[in-house]
Amino acid sequence: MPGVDTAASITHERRRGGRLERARVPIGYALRRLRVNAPRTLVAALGIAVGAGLLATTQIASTAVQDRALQRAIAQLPPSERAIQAVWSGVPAQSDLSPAQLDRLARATVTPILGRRPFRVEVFRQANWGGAFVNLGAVDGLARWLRVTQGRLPRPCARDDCELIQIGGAPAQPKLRGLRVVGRAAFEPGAPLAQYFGASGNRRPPILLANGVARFGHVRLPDAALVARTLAWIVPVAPRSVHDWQLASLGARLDRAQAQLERRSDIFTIAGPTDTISAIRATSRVAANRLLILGGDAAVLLLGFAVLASARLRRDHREIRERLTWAGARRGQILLVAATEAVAITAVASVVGWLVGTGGGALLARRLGAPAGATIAHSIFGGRTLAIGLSLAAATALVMLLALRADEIAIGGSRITVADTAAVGALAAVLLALARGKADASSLQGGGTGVLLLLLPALVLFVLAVVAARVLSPLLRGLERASRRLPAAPRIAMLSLARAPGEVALAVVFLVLAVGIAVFAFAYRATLVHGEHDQARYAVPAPYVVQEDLTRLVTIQQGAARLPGARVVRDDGSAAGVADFTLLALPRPALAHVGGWRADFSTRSPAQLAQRLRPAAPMKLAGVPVPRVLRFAIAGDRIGLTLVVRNPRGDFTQVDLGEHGPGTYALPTHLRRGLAIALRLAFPNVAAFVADHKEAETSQVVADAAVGTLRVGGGLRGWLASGGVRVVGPGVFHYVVNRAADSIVRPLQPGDGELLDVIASPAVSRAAGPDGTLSLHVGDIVVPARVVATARHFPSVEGEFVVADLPTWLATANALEPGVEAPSEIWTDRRPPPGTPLHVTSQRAQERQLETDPIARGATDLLLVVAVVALLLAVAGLVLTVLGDRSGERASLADLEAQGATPAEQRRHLLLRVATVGALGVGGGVGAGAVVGLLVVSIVTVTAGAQAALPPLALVFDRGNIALALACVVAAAAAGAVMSTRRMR
Amino acid sequence: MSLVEARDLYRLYATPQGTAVALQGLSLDVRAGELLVVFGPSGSGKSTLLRILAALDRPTAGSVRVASHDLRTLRGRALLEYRSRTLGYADQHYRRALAPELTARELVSLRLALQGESRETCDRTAGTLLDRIGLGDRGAARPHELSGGQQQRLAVAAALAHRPRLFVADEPTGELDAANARELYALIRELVKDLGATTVLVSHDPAAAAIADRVVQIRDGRVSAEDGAAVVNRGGWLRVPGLEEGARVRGAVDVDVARRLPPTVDPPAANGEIVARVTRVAKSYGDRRVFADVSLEVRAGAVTAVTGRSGSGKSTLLQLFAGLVLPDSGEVDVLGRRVDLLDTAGRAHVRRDLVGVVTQGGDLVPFLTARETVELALEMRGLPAGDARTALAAVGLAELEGQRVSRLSLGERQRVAVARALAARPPVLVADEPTARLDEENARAVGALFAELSRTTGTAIVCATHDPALIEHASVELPLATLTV
Repeated sequence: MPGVDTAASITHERRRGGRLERARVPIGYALRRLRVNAPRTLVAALGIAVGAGLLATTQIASTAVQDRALQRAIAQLPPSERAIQAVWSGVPAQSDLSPAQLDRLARATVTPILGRRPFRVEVFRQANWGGAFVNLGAVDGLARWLRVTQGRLPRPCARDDCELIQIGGAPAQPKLRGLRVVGRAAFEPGAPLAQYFGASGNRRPPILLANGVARFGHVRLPDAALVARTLAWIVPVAPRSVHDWQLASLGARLDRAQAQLERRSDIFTIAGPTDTISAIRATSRVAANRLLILGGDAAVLLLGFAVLASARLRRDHREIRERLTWAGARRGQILLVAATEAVAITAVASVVGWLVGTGGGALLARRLGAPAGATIAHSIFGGRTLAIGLSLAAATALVMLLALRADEIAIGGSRITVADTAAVGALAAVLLALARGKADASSLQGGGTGVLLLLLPALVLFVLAVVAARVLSPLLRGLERASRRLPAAPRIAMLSLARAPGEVALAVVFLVLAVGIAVFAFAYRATLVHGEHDQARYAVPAPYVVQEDLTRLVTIQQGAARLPGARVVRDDGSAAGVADFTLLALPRPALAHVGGWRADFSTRSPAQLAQRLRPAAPMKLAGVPVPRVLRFAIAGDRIGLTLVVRNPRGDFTQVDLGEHGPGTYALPTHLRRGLAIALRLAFPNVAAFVADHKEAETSQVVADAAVGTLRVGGGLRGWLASGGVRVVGPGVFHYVVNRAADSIVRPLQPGDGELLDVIASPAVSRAAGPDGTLSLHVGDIVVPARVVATARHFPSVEGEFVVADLPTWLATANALEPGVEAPSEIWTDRRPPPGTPLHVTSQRAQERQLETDPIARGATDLLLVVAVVALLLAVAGLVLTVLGDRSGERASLADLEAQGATPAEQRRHLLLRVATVGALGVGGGVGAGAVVGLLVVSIVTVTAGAQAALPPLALVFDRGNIALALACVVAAAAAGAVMSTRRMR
Repeated sequence: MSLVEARDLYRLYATPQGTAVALQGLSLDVRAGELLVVFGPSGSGKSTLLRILAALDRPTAGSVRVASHDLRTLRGRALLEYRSRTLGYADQHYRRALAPELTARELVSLRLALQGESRETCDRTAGTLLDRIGLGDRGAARPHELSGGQQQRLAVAAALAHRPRLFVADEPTGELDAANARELYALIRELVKDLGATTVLVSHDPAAAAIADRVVQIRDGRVSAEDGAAVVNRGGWLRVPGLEEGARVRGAVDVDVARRLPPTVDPPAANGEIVARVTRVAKSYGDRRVFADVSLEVRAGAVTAVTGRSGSGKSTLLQLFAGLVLPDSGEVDVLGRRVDLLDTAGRAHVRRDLVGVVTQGGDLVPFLTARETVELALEMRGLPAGDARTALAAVGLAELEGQRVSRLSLGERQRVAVARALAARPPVLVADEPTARLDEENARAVGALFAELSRTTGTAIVCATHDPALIEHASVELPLATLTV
């Protein structure tokens, strides 16, 4: 036979074909298969692409969220904290560098930090210029920082003519030739100049500014070179001028700039808001890390789809293996076919998915207000993210390859698959991670355990999916037994599922994964959204909460005496065994209807808790109407007297009656209304000062005391005494007063000798004795209390707490330390009038702030995207199952057709199978989603805005949306299945 | 010198019913370059012997050497080398051997390419072989574009492209008609002789003996007769070496053989009323015209055997009667119903009510048991399920009625398909190669059952077949080519 050598002429030595050639054939075969079977391959690739896309979108969203959080926080900083500044202070005549050299040096150093040129400020030390005591200075680009209120902006200075503008203070006009004030202005709110000029006001010298530092430098001012001044080169850090991904290098750039300046002059300093920004970044990192939950879920979905898709190809690969074995292929060559297919599908799908996900992420970034291009460049094209993406693609290809080739092994009569082994490993990881604690804000900041915990949901889902696969067979057998009396079509469908679960199991597993992730995403999203609502109402338990403004030192009694609402006392305290707690005293009706309460805070309702605080008798602070004149007599040492009066509006006035020695007195109180509740006796101030001085200079203890007798008249006659004072007769008190004791004469108060009933947090309750009593240290007083109920949380309080009835508390506390305790808050439904000089917090504003938080929005938006994508994949999985069934059942369907089954009956067979698979998968998925939701809510204790959750998140299952979504999935899948089977002849 | 030396081969299998013995001390030598044909009934051990020679199985005892390879101890790379270089293998399931994605040229050169041969060598060898097998101009065609016979020739060429020393073929003509089978046998002989390959060919088909250098008969796991001894043919005929082909010798036959083969049943008469007909039907698949202008009348109580080459359209004709396909033109009438005018559901009802279909058994629902398969068909027709057992017993599958179809052999599945048709007793029965995977004994049994069914129930049976055992029981044999008007 020409061209063919005979067997006898062949030497049968090993033909040394090239390795390259031996590899080329299986690779070429695999690529040919992909081309020929493009439709089937396409579906598999689609699922993988979607998973990869979801991952890319998550990464971009994470970066966008971090950046937006940073921008928001920067915007909230005071302008002076929001700038990078190089500052030089000194006397020019003493400097080695001329002003021009200083300027060149500073600009060259500061400009590269943010890539923007600084503007200059020059400020002279406060001095007298031409008879006017002013702050004289100059600012570049004055128009940008001032709001002219009178006159006009000054023109840049000339040598002999320098226009100035005044800010604050009485009108000033230096009598110097060449200087004249042409207007008045105020600083713009965003001007970063406060630290140079301070708060202007009538008590500060006026500020006179020229327009432009350079021109101002040419003005002839007397002895200017000898006058100390400050020069600053300032670059405002406006929101959006610096991004999260630039922060890592910002600190290094500042350090370099500092070193550069110090080499030339040690008077230079450079500063930037790095500490503040680092703190902001830590918070935003929590939010980004939390998104790992979704990233992990996306990865599981990706791998799950890869396994499902492989199932369809696995049958082919068994035949390929057989065929190639007979064709003399080596094991490596056969493996190369499967590996080429797996890698080709995964690589192409991953790249496409990554690109599409990038597009989706860009849209999400824009919605969050982050720069899309830069966000993308610094997220998914960063080294770490690319490495993660490549690793995941490799893992997907490996999973596909294993799924194509994995064999089962039999152990003790049971067949163990690769999936079983992986599930056991995942379960071990879950248990180990759970043992290590919660993923709260601090652990998420630092990474490590907290971050690992975020991957738990994905692992748990995987374990649940494998369990579902294991449970499936007995379940299907049960269904088959139950269907034995049904007509042929459903009976055959159940038989086919029970006796050949095969790919059906994979379809169910995938549905459990996809639907589980979707249900979890919906539920977790609803939980976060609801959590924001809970958080707002917890932080602000009434529509408005009015508090004292500590900068203005206006009490609520002074600022809002007429505002209706519940008065509340808030104070700090401690007890033995409890480091600190918040004491909250409010009226019982307010407690019974407190806003922000949740049923899981306590086993008792607020009304029941309020009932527990009900005092045996009305608790009203006892006293006598304040006399206009107080008459008293002293026989003995000099003492100071103070009358404590409770004002009608609820606060106290300490009426200082002065220090008096022996004698009789009638002193006016200068008060018309009020309730005198105590008379305080004090050691004379001078004597106290001398004694303190002696103790400080020597090692002696000075035990001076004032001794004597005090007689008082009027309503004080029936009063009690304490702290070194004793009653010797009606209105007659013998005193021994020193610096140590708090000597008080007062009436019997209703709480005297009684325990204060309180509701306490668990730690405080545990610190109480077996009878529930403990001593509360609040301020300078020690209050004996009894815990009558426990609650895990109380609205407006973070940490441990004690809640008391307000009148009871006021009576008790002011009996021990008269005049110190008065309500400091008002919880009201009514909006305070504008101009109220108090701090007002609105519940609605709090909610709005939480809702608009970019981190929260990013998280909830992404959860919605994940849910929708997972549901779409579930639909795709069901359609894939139908297509697979059509292919897999082809021979069976052909036989049924040959025996007279109509197309409708054949379709019914397929659709029944799909419906069973769908029902099992969806049902299992709902359960899995609920389990994962509970797990996540219990271990990830941060809110939508990545803050510590207070109150803790409570799972909201969002039944409505989940039911609607699943109904859509079922409808879409049914439509897809019907369409797929419609073309059956 | 012998290339194959088998000594006292035993092969035992554990089954639920106990130990089964496939080979019982079989000894066989095959000389280098010899073409050995192995005959034997089902269960005689032919396939087991072949699997051992192909290193797919190991003997329980005994020794077997092929060239320098001890097949009992062959493992790992040595096993791979044996299969890839020494051995060539082909069986009747050519579709399994031919990757659907590759062209004919690529399939022939696949083994060489996997061994790392250069592209030029692969192309040259493939081209030459394709020319030899008559597919020189079809090198770019994929398997589904070729006929059954062409595919089988392609599979044989692919098995021989690497010039193996031993070529093993298991029923290579099992799915071919007689004409294609003869052509294939001739091709095999030509190729292996040119290559100098030693060949062991297992077959049911007596026509294989024509190409053999030597014929052996295997029975009960050992060689029962070798070349030169009488070989029992159908109908009690002997093949005596040395006599001219076609001569008949009447004489005493082995009582054993005579008792084993079922007696031939007289075919039913073909004088019943016409129950089904096709009139001037034509059918094409894409560009390929299957047939044109074919007419056929089928009578009640008759068995009609339609014969013809593979790819001639026999199966298509049967599918027309069954309503599984529609003609491009012409009429199809079954018991007064114009099947060609019905929709898909209507045709399904025709199959349910009027026409039983016997497939080749490969398409049975795999997860049903044999009994459930038959019962389902009866249930679909509204018939009592009790007849299922009887039908299965009639085809010799009483003991396997509870076995899932997926665990039955191809031959057993085919018998299930026949049993299903028998139980339903339809007015018209179409059977497509119903004995393709059966040995002679079972084939004759099926033929007898068909004849009996026709006679007793008046069922009109139309078979597409090339099996003489079935044709013998036919009322009329009609070559398809003669049906063209």
